[in-house]
Amino acid sequence: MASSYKYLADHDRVVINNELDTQVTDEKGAGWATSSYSPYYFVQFASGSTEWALATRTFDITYGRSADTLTSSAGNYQAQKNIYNQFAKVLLGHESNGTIKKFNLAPEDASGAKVLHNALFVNFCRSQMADKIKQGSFDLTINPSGSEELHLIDSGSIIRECATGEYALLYASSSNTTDFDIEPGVNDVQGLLFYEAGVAVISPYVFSIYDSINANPSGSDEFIGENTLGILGSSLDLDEIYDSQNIAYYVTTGSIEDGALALSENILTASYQSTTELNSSIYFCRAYNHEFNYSSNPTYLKDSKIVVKGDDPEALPRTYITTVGLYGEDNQLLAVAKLSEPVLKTPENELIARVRIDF
Amino acid sequence: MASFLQNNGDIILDAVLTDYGRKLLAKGDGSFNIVKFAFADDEIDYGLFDVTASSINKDTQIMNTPILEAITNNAASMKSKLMSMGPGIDNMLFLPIMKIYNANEGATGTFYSASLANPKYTGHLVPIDIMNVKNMKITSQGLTGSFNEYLPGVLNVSSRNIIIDQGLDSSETNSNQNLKDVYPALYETEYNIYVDNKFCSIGANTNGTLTALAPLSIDDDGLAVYKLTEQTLVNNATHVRALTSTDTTDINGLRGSRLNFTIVPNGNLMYTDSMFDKYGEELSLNINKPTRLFKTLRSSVRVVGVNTGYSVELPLLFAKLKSTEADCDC
Repeated sequence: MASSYKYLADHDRVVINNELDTQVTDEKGAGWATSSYSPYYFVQFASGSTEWALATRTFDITYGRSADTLTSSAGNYQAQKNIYNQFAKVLLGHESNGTIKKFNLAPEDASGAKVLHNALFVNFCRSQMADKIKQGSFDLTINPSGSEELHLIDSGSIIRECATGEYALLYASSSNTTDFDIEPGVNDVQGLLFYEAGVAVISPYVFSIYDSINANPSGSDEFIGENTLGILGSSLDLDEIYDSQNIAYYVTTGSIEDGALALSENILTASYQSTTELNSSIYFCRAYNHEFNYSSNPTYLKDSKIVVKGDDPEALPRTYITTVGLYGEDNQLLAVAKLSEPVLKTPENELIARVRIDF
Repeated sequence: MASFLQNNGDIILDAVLTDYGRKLLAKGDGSFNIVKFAFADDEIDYGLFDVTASSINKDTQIMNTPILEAITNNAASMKSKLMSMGPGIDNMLFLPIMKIYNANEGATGTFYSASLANPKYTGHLVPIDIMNVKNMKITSQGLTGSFNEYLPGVLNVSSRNIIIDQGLDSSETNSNQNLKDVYPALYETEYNIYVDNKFCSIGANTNGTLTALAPLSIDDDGLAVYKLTEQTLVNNATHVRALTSTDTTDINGLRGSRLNFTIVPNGNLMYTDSMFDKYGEELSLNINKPTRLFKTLRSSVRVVGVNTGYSVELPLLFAKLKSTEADCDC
């Protein structure tokens, strides 16, 4: 029986997983623009336009603080608490007693000394980061001094598991050791990066690393007690950050938008590799020597006679493959692949077409 | 020292899902299941093969054929498939084709083909309702009864069908024999028929009894496929059978199988003009009668031999007498 279709054997199909990495770099110099969309978060665009329909959205910024911080009568306190809990709930999950976990810059330190009670959240857009941020590729460059660059990087960080997949610590790094007072084990960890969720959790105190800020501790801790300040201990409160960089104001009494804007204005570059996870099915379409040597092409025949044989029954039949079709049981064409050039098929050769479908 | 081996490894291709494949995938019910494959040579013109040239130059023009990117419309690709004949069958000089059996009007058991007075169209006419039938002067056939009796695009309700014959169309072969006996590998036992489900379906017309068949599937573009085999029995009649030496046929050589079916216009064409207004045009038709204005609609039916992959496409013209036209039952 002549046949146009050939069934695939079980071993003719394999499923493989691949990752496709793409470099993403959002530079402030390229024309960043911001637009407030909601009182709960701030949107960063890559282009100079603030029009939703025209600009490429890169990431959102918001600010939150834990319920352990002192209660404030300020209008944004509850919203900030809700934001913190929302992120903590999604990214970290719950303790065994049902309470929401807190962000901790020293996850193995059970004392909670470096629990991050105030946090800026940078959510990278799915359209930019694809399935996840590639581990070891992240570099968020900020300029807390207004001119010097400080990098927050995940390179060399231990990968830890969490509710959304994996995360790592973000380390502060700068070539300027004069102005940036980075002490390993003290203030070098300034955030967390959640790879699959595409969220960077950044301590607002990252701005205090700049030497001039630490030099002038003063001010009030009206809303946030010194014991809950986070990584830098009691020598620093939020007001001194406010004094130098206009940050503390946002953290203690400002709106979420104010806090997000403060970080946004200090970000120079967000650089990372996005990873797209590809699941591919590969079908091995095998044409043995005695298969697919004749064609139903209307030009193949003249008066029912095979043209390429030249009236010689002993001449070998030949065909030229240009297309591979993958079919369902009822001969429905489900996928199609093209060759770059015609491939000769005769009874004297065999071939295997590896046809890949990415999902 | 030996040179490096030339890399003649596997051919690695990236496939794209067809629109129908994406539809099945979206359904998520497991209907997307690739179980077989086929090769095709849609771009190749074998007329460019130069049998008189030296062996290395015979297919130079063919090998230089540029290949188009994949088309995602499932009905647009894989139109000419490659065939396997089985081990050791390399000495075939002939291959079967399919031909529409286009006998004269009025012959029993034949398909009606009209060359219309209007030169715009010379395809196959499918009248929609009894008014059409009257205007095509078939009242002498004694047609009475309900609409359904006249639905298929036929003049003789008792036996008109589309008939397609398969075989070797060469007088060099013996027309008294059948492929089934001489080259059984080339005998076609199964056909797929593709029609636009918006306009019609495939049916069986056996001695005046019309039976619409259920499509095997309908794709995302509304293209319905029907499967007819030698085992398909409708009203105790087969759709596919072997041609005998006594059958009248246009096949000039070794005979293969005969396929018969009919077209059943659907309700959208019968009871409203909306499809005609959207997809069709008005034509003045003159079929043995004074010219009348008809609403018409063009479509086609494609028949593919499943075993050999050979296909033929038949143009169709659905015609419906415009409501403002006077009936002429004369």
